[in-house]
Amino acid sequence: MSGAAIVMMLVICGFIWGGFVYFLIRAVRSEARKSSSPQEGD
Amino acid sequence: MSENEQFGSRWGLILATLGMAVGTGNIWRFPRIVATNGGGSFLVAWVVFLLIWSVPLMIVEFSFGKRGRKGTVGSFIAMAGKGAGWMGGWVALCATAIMFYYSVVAGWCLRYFAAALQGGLTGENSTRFWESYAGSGVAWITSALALSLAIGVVWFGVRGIERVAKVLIPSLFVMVLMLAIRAVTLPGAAAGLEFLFRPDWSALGDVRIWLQALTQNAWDTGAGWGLILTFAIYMKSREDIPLNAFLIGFGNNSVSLLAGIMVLCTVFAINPGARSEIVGAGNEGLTFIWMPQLFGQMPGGRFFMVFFFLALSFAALTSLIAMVELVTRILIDAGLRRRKAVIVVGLVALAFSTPSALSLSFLHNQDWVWGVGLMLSGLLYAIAARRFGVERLRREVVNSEGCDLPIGKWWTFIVSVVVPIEAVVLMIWWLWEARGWDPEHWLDPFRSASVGTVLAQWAVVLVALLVLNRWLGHRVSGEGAS
Repeated sequence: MSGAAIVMMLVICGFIWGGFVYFLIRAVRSEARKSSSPQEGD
Repeated sequence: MSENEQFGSRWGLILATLGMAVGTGNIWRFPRIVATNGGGSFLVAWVVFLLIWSVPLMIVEFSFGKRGRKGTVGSFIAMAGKGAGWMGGWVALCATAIMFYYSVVAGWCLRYFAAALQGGLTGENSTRFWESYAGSGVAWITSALALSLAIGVVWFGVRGIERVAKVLIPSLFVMVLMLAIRAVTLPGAAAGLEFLFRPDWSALGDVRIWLQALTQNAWDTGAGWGLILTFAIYMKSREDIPLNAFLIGFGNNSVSLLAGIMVLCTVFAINPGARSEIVGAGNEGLTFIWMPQLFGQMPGGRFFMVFFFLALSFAALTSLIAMVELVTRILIDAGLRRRKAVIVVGLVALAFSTPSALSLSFLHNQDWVWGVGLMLSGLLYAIAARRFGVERLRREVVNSEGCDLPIGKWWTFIVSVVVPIEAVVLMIWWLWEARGWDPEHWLDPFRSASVGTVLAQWAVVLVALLVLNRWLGHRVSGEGAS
């Protein structure tokens, strides 16, 4: 693979998969916080 | 079954919505489009439109469903006034028309999964298998089977959808990941990665690349289809909107990227000489003719072929379930009990899916007409949001209590200005393109894939919706419901 293709692969995969993992972790933490709060039932 | 149902947890909502978003388009369209539109350069444009089309529109859909608490018709009325029922009706009819032929596609996936499992599908007979199956009575039966499965899930309400999504979506992710890992470990797969990611910066000056990237986002993330709105009806009142939208948008595109790696690495490793023919073979040609041939030449290929078609079936079914729920919910708003509504939807879908099951050209024409129609749906969301007040929507609904990721005024600008421009440009571009496909008959409404057929079918639907607008408003707002 060429250097340009490797860099592009890292940037695109990093952004998309990294973004997905980042938002997933934020959601998990938020849910953990909400479940420890007794006010969050609906 | 209560009509005031809710998802049991945030994960139920996210998985059901991801199931809706991840469909066959991720697996069979994305690899083809990226391969024929500049590889790495296309990916740059594709990421940009994830941020300025898909995610902003998903946030609009979530906020409409959460605030309106009714299907597309009722929520558009709640957000944009009584006269806006026709807009929600358009969004619903567009998704319903897609459901009619999408059930056929889901049936194909199920049939190929069964054939791969039984060993009846091999690399040698894939062309013959497809030609004898597509458009036959068997295709109608498999379409009916796919519809029955989706109806069966929706019958049990939102908790049924949640339970199924919790099994199918993680399984789908694991299978696509496994297939992608297998593909990149094939000898010669690096050429596929090079082809997929090599940037051609001059291609970014080509407007066509940008329009294809926007189209891919419009068609494969489910933004603007009305399906997210429908699931948002069942979210808790203190549930977050923006973080869910980002999670679903990035999750959907993560699967697309994996599918691109899986398909292109397989193509380049197994049959690099035929790569142009393979990626130019269309969705069905790539998936149902070439992929079995490629798996047939791969060590342990039958095993991976079974998982490929199982993953495709899961992707198709979870999207079909969302479409069935969309129509069912509108009938519930109009006064029907869920189970009665589900039966009505099932019978109507069975009847209207028949032409697409028996004729590939009919299916392709419907795909063309309502695929472009989705861009009008996106425009109508932006118009309705402007009527409500986009900034008010951001403050009162999107960033309301329970929000985990407050969004800034950039979103207001994108929904007010950028999304309408994108939608109008896309519609004009696609219709202009179609003019060139058949310069002599482009306005003929009876020609497949013509501008005329789009305008004629849209006109019939829009006139009917405008005539019935007042009645629609009465029915879904409960004034005329039984």
